[in-house]
This record gives sequence, C-alpha cells and structure tokens, in this order.
Amino acid sequence: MTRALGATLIAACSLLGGAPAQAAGDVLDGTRPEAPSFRVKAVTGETLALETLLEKGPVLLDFWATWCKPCLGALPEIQALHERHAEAGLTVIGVSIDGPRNFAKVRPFVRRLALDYAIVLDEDGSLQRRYQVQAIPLTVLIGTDGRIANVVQGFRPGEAEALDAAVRALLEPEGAPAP
Amino acid sequence: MTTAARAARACARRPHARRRAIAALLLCTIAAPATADLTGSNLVEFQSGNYPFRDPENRFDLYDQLDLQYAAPTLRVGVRLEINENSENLYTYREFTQRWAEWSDERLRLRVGNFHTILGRGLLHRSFELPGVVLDELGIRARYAPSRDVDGVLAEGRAGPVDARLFAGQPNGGVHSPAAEEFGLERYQGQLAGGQTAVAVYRQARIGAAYLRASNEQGAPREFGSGFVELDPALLAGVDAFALPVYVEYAQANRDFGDFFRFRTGDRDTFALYAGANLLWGPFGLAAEWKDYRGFRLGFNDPPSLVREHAFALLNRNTHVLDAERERGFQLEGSWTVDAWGTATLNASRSDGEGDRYEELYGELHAMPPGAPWEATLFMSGGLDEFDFTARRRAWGGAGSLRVLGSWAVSVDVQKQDATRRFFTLPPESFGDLYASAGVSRGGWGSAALVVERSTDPQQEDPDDFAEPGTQPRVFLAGVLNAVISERHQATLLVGERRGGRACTAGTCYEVQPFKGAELRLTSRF
Repeated sequence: MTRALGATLIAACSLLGGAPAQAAGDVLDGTRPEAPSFRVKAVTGETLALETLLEKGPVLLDFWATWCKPCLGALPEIQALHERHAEAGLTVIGVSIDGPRNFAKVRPFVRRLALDYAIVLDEDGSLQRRYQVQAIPLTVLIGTDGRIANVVQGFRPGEAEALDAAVRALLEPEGAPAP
Repeated sequence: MTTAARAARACARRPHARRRAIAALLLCTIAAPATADLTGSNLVEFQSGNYPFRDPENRFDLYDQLDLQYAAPTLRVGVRLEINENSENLYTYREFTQRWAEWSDERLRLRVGNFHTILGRGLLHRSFELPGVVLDELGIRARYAPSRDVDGVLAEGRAGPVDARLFAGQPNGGVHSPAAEEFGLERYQGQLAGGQTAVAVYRQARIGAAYLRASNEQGAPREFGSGFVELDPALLAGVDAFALPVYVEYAQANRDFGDFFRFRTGDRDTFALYAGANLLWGPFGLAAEWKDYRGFRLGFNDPPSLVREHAFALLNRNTHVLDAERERGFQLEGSWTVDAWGTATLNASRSDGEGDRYEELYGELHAMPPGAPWEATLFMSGGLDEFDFTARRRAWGGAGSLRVLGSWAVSVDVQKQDATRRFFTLPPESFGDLYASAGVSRGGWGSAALVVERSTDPQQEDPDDFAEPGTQPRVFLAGVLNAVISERHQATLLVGERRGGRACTAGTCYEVQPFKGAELRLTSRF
C-alpha cells in the first residue's frame, strides 16, 4: 500500500505540475507551451507547414475520427469557425486519426458534412503524439507567436462559443472593438 | 534486445536509479510551466473494486502513465514512465517503458528509441498505439498501455517529389505488460528492418514500393515486398464534376523481384491485396474497398479490415476482427446528404475465410438541421459473424441530444440487439442485449450519465443463477461523471458495474475486462 501511496503522490504531483490555474479561454499566456512544429499533406494534396501558416494568422487543429460520436457534433461548429474567421487569417486543419483501416471513409464523410477546410490523415500517428492526444475530439488553438493558446477536449454545448471567443482574442488587436 | 533497451530496462529495475529518475521527472514536471519547452501529459487511473464475482471485492489498483517531452528548435527528446500498483502487491512495476530522441528539419527526420511508423496502408507493417487505452494483461492481471511501437532507428526524408522512410528495430507486440518480463515474456521480440519510397508523379498521383525483413531467434528471416499506387482518374483527366480517388496495394512474401510482378493470388501464395476507392459527386459519397489476404497475420502489420467501426456501444462490441491469415471480401458505404437536414448512410460488408463468413448490412439516418437545438440518429443493423460463432444478429436503436438553457444539453441513447450463437454441433443459443443511457452535459463543466445494460447472453450470466433453468437476465448499472477541472485537467468517475467485452478504437479491437466498483481517471496535459 505504501508503494501505491507513493504512486498516488506522483500522480498528484503531475496533476499539479500544470497548475497555474488556467481557465478555459485564457489566451496569450507567456507560460503556454510552444506548439510542436509540423509539415503535413492535406488529402487534397496541398502541403501545410505550421511556420508558414502562422505567418497568415492563428491555426486551429481539430483531431477527430469518422467513428467518434461527439466529433459529429463538433465538426459543423469547427466549419462555422472556419467560415467566420478564414478571411481574417485563421487556418483550420482537421486531423483525422481514423487509422489506415478507415481512411477510405474520410473523404465521403468530409463531403457529407460539407467541411471545406484542410483535412489531414495522421497516417503514422505522429501528430497525435506531438499534441498529446488522449481523447477526441480535441481542438488546439495556436497563436501567431507559435504558442498553444487554447485546448478543448471533448465537445459539449457552449464550448464552440468559448473557442470562438478565444479565436477572436487572437485575431483582434487588444482594445479593438468587436465586429 | 538492443543494447540501449537493455541499459534502460536495467536502470529501470535498479531501485536507487529508479527513485532518482522518478524524482527528476517530478521536478521536471513541476518546473514545466516555467520553461515552456518541457511539455507532458499524464493519465492516472484508480480502481477500487474487482472483476465481478472475484475476491477481494475491494481490491485497489493504480495505473499511471506519464509522458514528458523536451523540445528545442530541431531536437526533441521524450520518455514515458508507467506505474502499476495494487493492494495485493502482485505484478507491480514502475518502469520507463519508452524513451526517444528525434532530430528534424524541413526535409529530414531522424529518430532513435521508441517510434511508430507505417509502410503503405499497413499491409507489411504498422506500429501504433491507442491513446488513452489501458488494458489488463490476461493471466497475470497487470495494467498497461498496449503500445505496438518499435525500439530502434527511424529515418524519413523528402526531396522534391520523392519521399522515403527507413527503419530497423525490435517490434513490441503490445500484448504483454512490463510485469510479464519477470516470467521471461519479452515485450520486444525479433527484429524488423524495412523501408518505403514513393514518388509524386502528376496531379496527386503517387506510386511507391516497400520492403520489410523480419527475423527472430526461431527461424530463417522472412522478406516481404509491396507496391502501391494512389491516383484520382478524374483529376488526371481534368474532370472536376466529381472526384474518384483510388488506392491499390499488393504485397507478397519471400518472392524475388521478378516474381513480384506476377501478382500471384493463388491458394498456395502468401500475399495481400487491398484496393479502396471513393466516388464524391455532389451530395453523394461512396467508399468501396476490396481485400484478399492470405498468410498475412504477421504480428507486426495491420492490414485494413474493411469492417465498419461503429460508435454505438452494442455494435462496437460486435466488431468483426480481421483474420489476415485468410480473408477475402469487400465493404461498400454510400451516403446521401440532404442539405440542411441530415444524412442517410448505407453500409454493406462481407468477408469469407476458411469456411466462415462475416457479413453486415447497416443503415443510418442522421438528422442535424442547421440552427435547430437538437440532433438525432437512428440505425438498423443485421448480419452474422461465423468467425465468432454468431449465426445471426439484428440490432436497432437511436441516440439524440437536445440543447437547453444555452450551454446545457440532455442526451439519450437506446440500443437493442437479438442474436443467435452456434458452437459447432451444439444446439444454438439465442439471447438479447439492451443498452440505454441518459445524460446531461454543460460546456466547460463536463457531463453526468446513467448507463444501464441488460443481457440474456449465457456467457454473461451470474454464476449464482447457473442452477436456475434457462438463462437469467443480468443487469449492469453504472453512473459516469466527467468533470472539466481546468483546460489542462479532466476527471472521469465511473461507479457501478461495467460490462466487459470487445471494444474497438481507430480500427483496432481489444478486450476490456468487466469491472465492478469505482474507477477514477484523471488526464492532464502541461
């Protein structure tokens, strides 16, 4: 039992490790981790490199899969974010973690939901590991400074609005009036 | 076992070194927010309870998985620490189960240590892990993350239209926990060496080839080769009214170069053929796949199974598990989207093995009108899986959610299934399963749900009811609470009884053990 308590302590410490009380929606905090770099190819053939995309504006990564029920609710909201903020510089990338067994279903699924932002197949799972994906849907918002501004795991009502606010905070200069 | 792996495991087994390493990890973890280059994630699961009908009823289990990464502009290093403890003090371990270093720039990636990779669509090789999945190792009952990684060296590069990948190392079968090494059951066995190269030809058309050499202490090395092509004839022809992406891969074992191009698919050949195509035309979408595998259950590969992966719990539990030793079949999935209303989906899949057949017909209607506060899905499914002794199966049900009071939603999910199982010449047994859940969720807070299952499956019967004539129904009841503690931490608490059985994630199936008691899972990222 002593060992179990020790292990519990380790777990508790790791839980406290990231504890500077970040409320969801807080952005541009100096202690935010740097977003892992990537260079991937979308299913439509275009190459997407994080550094290049950040020159245009913030980047939103959405990890999803065709078999994930909550993702089905989240994807139209992500599409709406893309439609609202693409012109202002936001790049949305949907990362399908379906695995090679389900890759054939990804494009019809994307068409079905009328998603017109970039879709990437994470063939070898490297993006999942770099972004520490433990459950989906998972959205990661990356600021133009290359740091992770916001992470949302799971999808519940109201979370799209919070994500929208976080995107706006990154797109609008401080003090500028909201459109 | 590689020298590096031996050294790491020897270190992990030395108590003093281990304690020092854990202390260092703790310091790193706590310091993480200050440096911002050190990131990590942690998954800890506490269980108080046991398998149903197993003593003691109040066994305590703890499993922790800590991943740490340190990133510099072109260099990244990482480790994984896994801990398994329990109140019976059996098969416990605290080990660094993975460690790696990676250097990369725009064109090249080099990685030493544990990695995951894929050749083609996985016919020859796929190493992977299922994020968030924690299993019980059967037999010795040790909890572990079923990672199918490779411990060795990986190099990837690209130059113009050409990309290439080379690797060598020891594969982890993903079936043993570190505790099993006590009994001489090594997680990493044999040696793999392989690679692939592909070239982008014209308008997204791509052609490539892969090679793999596998060896172990027992026999002569085996060699495998595959060739694949990826193209869109519509795009090549300049037609933009529809899209028709196609992927074809053919693999053979122990063939010389000349023989490979004969594309043998006879009963005496060891080969794998996979083809997949999409037709995307207006509101219609079609995914069509074909497979023909013989002798390709290799242990370190993962060919596409061509089986629909269901989100509905009862159907997910019935997912057919591919036997790449001998299966031939197809999967067709068509969908039609009615703008501003929803989607109708129809899926048909079938495969034949040595005298066994699997087939399923699945239909789904999903309604999600834009702007409406609700969404709903109805499904029907029927089929059989003789590989699994299921002679007949029918299932139907639906799920829906309604948004209320702005940030709140209520959801329900009801599923029913009737099935018949037939074991060889024994009389067939018919049974039914019912699954129902109701829950409430709120953005930024979490969710709460009540899950109830009722089964008349003889394999699920309470042992106390064995003396009763017929099969007595068994009920599983659980409450599940999910809380968003902060953006970085989430907790999920299950109290009650969870039915065991097959579960499938990302196309890969595994066995979840039944559990009765309380289970708390905390996930963190920092």
